[in-house]
Amino acid sequence: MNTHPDIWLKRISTLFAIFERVATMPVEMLEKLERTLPESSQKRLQELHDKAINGPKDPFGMDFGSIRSALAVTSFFYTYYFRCKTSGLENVPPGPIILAANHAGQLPIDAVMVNTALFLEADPPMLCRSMMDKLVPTLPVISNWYNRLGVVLGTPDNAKRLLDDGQKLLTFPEGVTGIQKPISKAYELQKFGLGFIRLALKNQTPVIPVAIVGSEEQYPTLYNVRRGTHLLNVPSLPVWLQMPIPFLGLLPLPVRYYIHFGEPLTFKGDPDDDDEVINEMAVEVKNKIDAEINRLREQRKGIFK
Amino acid sequence: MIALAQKKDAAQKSVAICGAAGQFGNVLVRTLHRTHDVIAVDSRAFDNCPADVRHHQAELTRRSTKNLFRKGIFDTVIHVGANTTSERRGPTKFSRAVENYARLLEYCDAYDVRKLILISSANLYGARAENSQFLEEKEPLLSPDLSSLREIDMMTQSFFWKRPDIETVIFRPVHITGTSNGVLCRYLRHSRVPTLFGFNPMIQLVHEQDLVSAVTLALQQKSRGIYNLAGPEAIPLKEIIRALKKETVEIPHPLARPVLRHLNKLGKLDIHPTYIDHIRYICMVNDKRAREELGYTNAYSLKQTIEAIDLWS
Repeated sequence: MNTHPDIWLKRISTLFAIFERVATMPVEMLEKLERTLPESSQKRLQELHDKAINGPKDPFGMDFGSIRSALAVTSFFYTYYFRCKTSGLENVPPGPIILAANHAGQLPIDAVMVNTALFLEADPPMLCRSMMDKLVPTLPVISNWYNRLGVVLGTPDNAKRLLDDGQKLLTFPEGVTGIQKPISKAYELQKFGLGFIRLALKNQTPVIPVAIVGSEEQYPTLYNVRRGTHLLNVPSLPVWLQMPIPFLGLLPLPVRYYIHFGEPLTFKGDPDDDDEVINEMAVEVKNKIDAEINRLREQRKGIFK
Repeated sequence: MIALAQKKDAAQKSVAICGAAGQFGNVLVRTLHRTHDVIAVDSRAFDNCPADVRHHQAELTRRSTKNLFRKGIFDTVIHVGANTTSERRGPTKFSRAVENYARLLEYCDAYDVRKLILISSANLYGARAENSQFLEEKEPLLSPDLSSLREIDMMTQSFFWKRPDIETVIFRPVHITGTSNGVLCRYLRHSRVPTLFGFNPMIQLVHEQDLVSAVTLALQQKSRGIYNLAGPEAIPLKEIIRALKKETVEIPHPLARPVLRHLNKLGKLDIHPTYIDHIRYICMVNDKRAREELGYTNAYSLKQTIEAIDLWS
């Protein structure tokens, strides 16, 4: 048996190259998926494709080709699976802006739906950038995907650079506490972090409160297991309602999403001011989101309608 | 004629290039000797030294080198010899590099040197998961390797305060391509390049001639401070490998360190296992300061900068 290290390396490499290929969706499947979308969505995706070929390269590594593939999939989910209803897009101006939204549902599908809404419904189509936790760059494949999809590490410098470049920034001031909360605390907004307000003050950027209804029920979480999860390097492991159903239990429930973009709020003050002062501004954003969530919940006739 | 006239103007005093016999030192000497009187200082042999350049072949710690400085003939000192991976060279090399540099700072302090330029490295910031996309000059130097260069960089930063009248400049360039034999270039010159499965960090490259032009700009101006230097736009690592028409060998990251150590021992790979973080995480810099204050621009495109990796052979 030939045990030359080169042979083994080649075998390992081939094996992982196959995994990587399987993990990325074949182009033909994406094309089929795209054809099922409304004509206007197909046109927007084609424009993005042209930008991928001719447009400038993004310094953060965002790849328009990958974005197009991802948006083809997310547009399908946006249109047919979650049947999103979006309003208030006239409040989103061109240029740099901070979008502050409520966060829920274990997986950041809410972030994906907000991005897809801006791409499919805004005129002209908009792309906004999301930020990730510092755990993500340590994860193989996922870190690479996130990078190509334009998600950047959540540091003040990165956020400032994106806003300076005229990009839109999607933030979830509730953070991990918001996304992990159980169904018993649905639509109870958690304490807002203050970083997004300090950033808005520093860059003189308006903040748009974004209310999302539907995300809380996609994975109705009954319990969060926290014991021993440090071994997996995650804060907790959720147990959700549909989990016992084989395979299908991994999918989110096909709830209807309601997304509303509120009017821009402009804050003035010292970005390095005391937490109490900054917190007042954060609470103002929180109250706006809360009020809009309540309005949307009253409007909907059921979680699937 | 213009070049000769410039040379005449600067002829009263010389430029000392320490580490001139190295790959980048060589390139720098070959450019600067057209406009300045250059004295190459390096204990190594300098075979293709230009005819009008004097090669002082001695360690910086030697009496003869001190005497050279004592004559007060140097207007500017450029140090390029420190950009090596200390772990590859061992602790003796580390202490010698630092000791040599400490002596050089003593000479600059004592013998009326007007300008000191250090070619450091942006790799000193360290490739880390927590890194912002574009690191500025104020960021701490957190790289676990390159200990000698880090020490030298820190000593130069102290020198800013000790001798504020000396125009001290630190350049922290990203990976240099061209005839330079930097660690990333050595890594990318393998026919099959080992990469980490699922990781594809953005990489910044700078062509050695662009770095030379930045040094020239620093020589011409009354500049002082630390300058990050990057070339054209950043590009994912695996795209560079693809552009060089090389094959990748995907290694899962938990196995990477033992595999690379093994290949290193077998002589199959010229890259130290401590370098793994650079092919896993980003270490990118913001060179806005150099572009705004020095007027630096990269003349080489991304394609030319990548193609320069294979120039070395």
